[in-house]
Amino acid sequence: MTHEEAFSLMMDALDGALAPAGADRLEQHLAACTGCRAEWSALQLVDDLLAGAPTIPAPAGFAGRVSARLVAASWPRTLGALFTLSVGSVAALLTVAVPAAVVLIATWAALSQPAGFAQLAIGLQQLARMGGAVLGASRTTLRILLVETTGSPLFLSWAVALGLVLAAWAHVLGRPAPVRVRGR
Amino acid sequence: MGDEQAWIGRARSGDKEAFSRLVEAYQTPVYNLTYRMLGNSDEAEEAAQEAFLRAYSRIKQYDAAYKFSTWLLSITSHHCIDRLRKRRLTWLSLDEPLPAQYAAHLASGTPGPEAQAVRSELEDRVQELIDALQPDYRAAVVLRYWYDMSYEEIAQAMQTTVSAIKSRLFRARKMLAAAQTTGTEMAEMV
Repeated sequence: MTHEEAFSLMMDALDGALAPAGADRLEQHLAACTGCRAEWSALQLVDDLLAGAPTIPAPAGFAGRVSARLVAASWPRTLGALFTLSVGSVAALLTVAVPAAVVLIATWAALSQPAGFAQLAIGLQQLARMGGAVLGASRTTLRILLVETTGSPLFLSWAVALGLVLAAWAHVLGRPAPVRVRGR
Repeated sequence: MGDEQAWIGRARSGDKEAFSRLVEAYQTPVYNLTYRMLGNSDEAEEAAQEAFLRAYSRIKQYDAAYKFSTWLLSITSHHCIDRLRKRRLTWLSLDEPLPAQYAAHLASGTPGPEAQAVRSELEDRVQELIDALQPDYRAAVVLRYWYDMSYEEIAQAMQTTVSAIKSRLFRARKMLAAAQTTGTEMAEMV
């Protein structure tokens, strides 16, 4: 038997997987080989040391600190969602409230005048023209942005840089700092 | 086990409270693994916290056909291996003579008068032996000895083959035995 074969049998013995025939062969080899006998002693000693080593318990309050980090990790997303929701709600409210207020004021002003209905009609026409002008200006702006500027290298560089900055910002916000404790 | 599956199911739906129950149940196995892999309590705590956060973020990928503990310890051991590789420390070479203090530790076969001190020395000795192994070998040894995992389970946790794990344990044990022999010889010379 070679030393490597003997060592392989020693591994099986440590794992409790050595068949009786193998055990006999190993025993015979160990009786004749001083080097393998020393190695087997060292292996058994290391095996005993490792098998007898205790499990180190988690420090006090560990689970609580993990839970705190779980909550902290979700805060940036929650705050982001709240911000988006708030801005969206205000914008929606303004979109409805401002035209409604204009219509109400115009109606009230028109009805309080002698020639109220005629002036109301004129006011509504002006409002419609203003709305049309705003829509036209928006469409023109959008067209300029999407069609004419997106092709320019300057715009593309700016868009890429903005994307990178936003991604870096989101990455930084999404990484909660570890909760440190004093060493035991 | 029924509770555990229920907690996992709720955690999959984003229930942090349910995941906290899993943290409570597995905090010691995870912490012990990070401590044995990294060798100091501060880094072990940080790594264990990170391992749980990673487990939470990936819990939808957990396959219930396997043991949750194996999956969790797999995440933990990979995280520890990554940390060890980033450390860029000069590893204690097992081919070189060990420090005299370490050698004396290895040679002390009989318990001293202060049982607590002896136990502490034994624990130090075990940790020093493990610290001398390279990360992949270290993980295999820790999972084998502290978690009583079979070769198949270790292979599954470390995402490799059973023969690779056998080879790692074979070589790790050989290195540890060599360190043990060298340490004893040095202590006898002191």
